[in-house]
Amino acid sequence: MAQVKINIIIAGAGQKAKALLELLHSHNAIRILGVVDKDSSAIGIKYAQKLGIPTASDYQRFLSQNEVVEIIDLTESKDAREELGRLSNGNTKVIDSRTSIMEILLQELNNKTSELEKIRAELDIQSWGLQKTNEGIRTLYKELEKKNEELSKLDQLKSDFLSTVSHELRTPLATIKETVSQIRDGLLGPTTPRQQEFLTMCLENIERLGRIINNLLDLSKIEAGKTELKRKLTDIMGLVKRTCMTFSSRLSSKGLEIKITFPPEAIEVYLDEDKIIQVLNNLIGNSVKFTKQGFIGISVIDKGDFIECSVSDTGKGIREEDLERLFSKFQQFGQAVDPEEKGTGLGLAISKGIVELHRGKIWAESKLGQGTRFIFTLPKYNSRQVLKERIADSLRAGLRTQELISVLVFELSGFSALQEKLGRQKAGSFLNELARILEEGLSNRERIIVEADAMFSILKETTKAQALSLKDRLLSCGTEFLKKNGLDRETAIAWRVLNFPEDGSTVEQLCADL
Amino acid sequence: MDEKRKILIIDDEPDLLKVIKNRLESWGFEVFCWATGAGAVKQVLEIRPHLIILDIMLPDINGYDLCYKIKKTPEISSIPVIVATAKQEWQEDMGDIGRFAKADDCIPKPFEPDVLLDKINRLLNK
Repeated sequence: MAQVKINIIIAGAGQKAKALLELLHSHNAIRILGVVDKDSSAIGIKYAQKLGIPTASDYQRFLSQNEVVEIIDLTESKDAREELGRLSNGNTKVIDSRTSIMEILLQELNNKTSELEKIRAELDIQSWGLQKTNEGIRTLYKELEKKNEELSKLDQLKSDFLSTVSHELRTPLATIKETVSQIRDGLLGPTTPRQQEFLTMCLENIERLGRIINNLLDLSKIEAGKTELKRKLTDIMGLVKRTCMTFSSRLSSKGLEIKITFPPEAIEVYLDEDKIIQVLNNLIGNSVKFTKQGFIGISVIDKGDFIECSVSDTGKGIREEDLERLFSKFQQFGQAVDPEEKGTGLGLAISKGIVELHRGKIWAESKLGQGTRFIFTLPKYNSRQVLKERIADSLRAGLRTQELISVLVFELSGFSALQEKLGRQKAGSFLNELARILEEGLSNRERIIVEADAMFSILKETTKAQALSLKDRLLSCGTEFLKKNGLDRETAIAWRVLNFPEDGSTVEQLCADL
Repeated sequence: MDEKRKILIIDDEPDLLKVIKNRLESWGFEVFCWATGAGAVKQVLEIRPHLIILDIMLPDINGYDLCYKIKKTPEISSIPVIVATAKQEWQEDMGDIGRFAKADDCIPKPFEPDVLLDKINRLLNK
């Protein structure tokens, strides 16, 4: 930075002077003493006045004996030049706009330029770095996108594979089964008793193969997170009783007793009936299979937040070191008491998957020689929790492959009153019918999922605005349906529209205020 | 005796068609077979079966769509349709989706002959 202060007078007040004033008036190395011109209306004079710089028609008042004053000669006329020449002495220098002040300015400019260059160099480095980082991010993005695509393809492939395998295996099995059973049934001509015996054996093994295929697919589906629960409020004791009934002939033929312990009050839990029956069938079936004499004990205990179901037997028990492996795939322990009841080795793994889908736990306790007890718990969720969880699950699955998702939630207010009026069964089918009508308003691929007393739809690649307008359309269909059934006084349809990422960037955030 | 009840099976698996045909004939039905979605509606219009057994996995069309088409064709809309599938996820959803496609009943593959006969009789005696 320049340290020297230079006193200057600007001679002449034309256009050039104005430009110079503009340039210098705020310069900290230069003090402009004044602007001189005979013409007091010159443009430079006016401008100087505006800037608060003194003006005059001669130089006297600006010149000093003690200080060096430089007069910048911007005059045009010969007379003015001569006058300036006379002024020039020890302390007063007349310069024609090219000397020291210009040097200082140049110096300044140089300084500034080198500073600027330094800054620019730094900026260059930074921007180069940024560019690199950007490139890096872009590459990462591309990679992520690719990976995401691969993942969703893989996901699709896996589920395609599952359904293809199931189809491809079952189709020939259906032909084989039907052919064998027609031969055995004599549709294709008479068979001897011995042939029939073998054909029956053949059919039993076809059945078993079918069971294995089913179990394998059940398990793969659970493992792939493709199993969806269809939860309904269910009387758990009724369910257990009905399942036990299906075993009665097997139990009595083996001389086994069944002991049921229930709490005095009925308990209703949101659960997927078919799936919990599958678990019960499995546990009771195992107990029956491995028990020669004694009894099968079944109990349901109300534990407040959850219920605890257990199936115990007086069979030969399981060694402690085997208990852990019990729920793994293809684990079969001990010889079944009935050799014809060969298992698939997948039952307990599936049961575990189903119970865990219900957010429950399953475990086994056993004493060798005394018997085994299988216990599973089911949380007592209310309809709101069930709905929330189901939406969260569906969203999680959707967000694996989508960047934009809306959720449309419809709820029947006063559904319990409706259940009382129509009966639970009818109210349920009314809800399903409503879901069907709403589903007709959706595009082909979208589905309405009924959960507890509400229903929702996961709309992929749908903005909030789109979802809202779809909601309006569906709502009017739904309301009309209520009116048509004369139920619009008891109940109304409440709705919610959630959008990812607008309303939240995680599933938890999105579902928080449901 | 009134004339034989006619059943049309639409399935792309020739072996299975053959055995099911044999089974249905043993029950005294007159059986017609068709293997694709193309021309299926025309077949139904010509044969006017008393009942249709429809596979969901046809090579050229989703069986549910075909079912919906049949149910939307006035002259044949009242013919009962049983949808059948060997596909796991459709077996689970069959109740739901079948209902949406207006199918009258559904049966998984492989099927139990007794169960099939039950379903047929129930629909024919409606």
